[in-house]
Amino acid sequence: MKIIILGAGQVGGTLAANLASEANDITIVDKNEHFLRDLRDHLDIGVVVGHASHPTVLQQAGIEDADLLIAVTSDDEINMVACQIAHSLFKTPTKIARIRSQEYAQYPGLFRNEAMPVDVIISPEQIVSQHITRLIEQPGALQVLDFADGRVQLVAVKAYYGGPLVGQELRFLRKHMPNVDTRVAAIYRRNRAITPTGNTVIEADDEVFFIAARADIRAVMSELRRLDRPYKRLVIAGGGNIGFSLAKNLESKYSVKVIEFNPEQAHFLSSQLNSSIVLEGSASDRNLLVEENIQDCDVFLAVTNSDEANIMSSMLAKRLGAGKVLTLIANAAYVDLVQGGEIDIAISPQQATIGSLLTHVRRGDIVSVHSLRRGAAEAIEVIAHGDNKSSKVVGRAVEDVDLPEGSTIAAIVRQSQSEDGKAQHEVLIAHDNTMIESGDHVIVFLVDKRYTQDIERLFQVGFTFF
Amino acid sequence: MPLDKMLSANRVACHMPCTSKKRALEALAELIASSVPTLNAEDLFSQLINRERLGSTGIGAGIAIPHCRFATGGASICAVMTLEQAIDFEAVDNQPVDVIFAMLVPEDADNDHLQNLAALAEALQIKQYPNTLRQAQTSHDLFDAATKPFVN
Repeated sequence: MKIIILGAGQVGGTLAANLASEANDITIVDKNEHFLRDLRDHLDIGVVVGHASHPTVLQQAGIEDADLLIAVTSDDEINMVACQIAHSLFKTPTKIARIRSQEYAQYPGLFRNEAMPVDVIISPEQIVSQHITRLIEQPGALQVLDFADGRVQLVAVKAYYGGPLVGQELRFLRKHMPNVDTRVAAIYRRNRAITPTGNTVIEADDEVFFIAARADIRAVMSELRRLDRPYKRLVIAGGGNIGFSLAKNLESKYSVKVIEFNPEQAHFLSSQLNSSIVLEGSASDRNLLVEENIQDCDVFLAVTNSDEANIMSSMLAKRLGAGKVLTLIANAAYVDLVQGGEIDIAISPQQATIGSLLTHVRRGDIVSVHSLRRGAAEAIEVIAHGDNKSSKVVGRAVEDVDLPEGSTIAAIVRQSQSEDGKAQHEVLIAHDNTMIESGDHVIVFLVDKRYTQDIERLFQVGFTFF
Repeated sequence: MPLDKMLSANRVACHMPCTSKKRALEALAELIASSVPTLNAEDLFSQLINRERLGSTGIGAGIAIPHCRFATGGASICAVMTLEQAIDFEAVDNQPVDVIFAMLVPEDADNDHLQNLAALAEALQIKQYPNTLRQAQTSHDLFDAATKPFVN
């Protein structure tokens, strides 16, 4: 696939690195030559220096042949204009733009081919804040991924001594919880993946990925570890885009305090937020944290735009008695250093964002892609199309689908019409004899992303599909 | 299959200078739209692209048969294009494609249309047929070569 990326910043750069390894033809455009030189030194990609939305620059990048334009410069306006130009002059089939400002993003009617032709809007800040919100809503989870609009969730937890299932074979899960259906999609033991079968024994410290309907998540989690109490008190360090949207999402259900360094921004926050308490000051100010009773807070969230500030304030908060600390860390090398030590969960904004872009790069009718385990693994929601003849999955039982190594069909979400014409969704946890139908949303877990292509091929329709 | 009714002399194009799958489908949509004024090239292009997304119609040996359902007013419409240079089409055998035989069927298409598609695929798998298409130098030759095996 020919892909043009506008903007060689953090998102653009990570994206290029992720895609370059997948046999794509990539050209990246930026006005800053240094960024480009850096990227070109270690990646097999084309680069063009220039103003990203200028037609001649786009032409130099090969827009006429491109299947996909991803506009992720730091300017919303440049991103939108580039998509407009790609559409009007070059008929680029898929156009993705990063749009940060909620001012634009709140008018969905704006983004259609007749008006502002952007097919997909991504806002990394929104994605990260939703990612964190889900973690807050499922205490004890290391990762929570939504599928089929949140009807199904894939959750990663660490198994602990004391969880009823720890030391038992997976098949006992059924007996323990006859009314709850779940499937363990993958187990990581000492950082190596194990493909789970009925006789796999769960050990303490295993990282277990399981899938279940959203309402059942806590029940399943309780089998693997002592449950954390639901969180109540949150402290958010950093009131930028992410901190602000987190506070807004969470303030109705939790007691939220936001610490913001910049007086103007703090003022803005306090005028925009309802029940959150906004504190002007530094999150690494020991006295401030003590005064605000950090020892009583259930979760400390460090979400400033500086990794170092986030790590330091998190460690301090933890030492001072914060229950859990969640830390935003952009630098992948730091993530390895700190996670599992004093920092409970490190969140990589790139990894959270990359999935929403990969969704549009992958072939087939892909609904979502989530990149996991620092990009090594992937969870994919894909729609099966066709029939017995034109598809390799439709009309087959899960056990008969020729899945590549290390991949599991975890669940299926089936849409049907109820009598009054409303769409109904049925969550089917995959068992060996579950049949796949056309239109099913199939959720697949891949331990090794190298097999992504095999999954794409598996779900592609045959030639005879109209 | 009544290919002579589905194809017309103004829906064939020889040795097109397209350099990518995207541009080939774009040119194809324009070719078809210019011969049938009621069809909109942009809509057609996006339909063809959407169909390709679900799975490539490159059937191997340098041949692709892009097809989709479209508001054609009840008719099946074909078009043929050969390319100056073979292009990547994500075909099943990963070989580049230089013969493109498009087929649009009406939205309510039934089994007959599927059989037409199967017949076309079968014909194109006999080597000689696509080779005569490749050799054609003018639209006129290409049209003759394309319809020849289907004239009873």
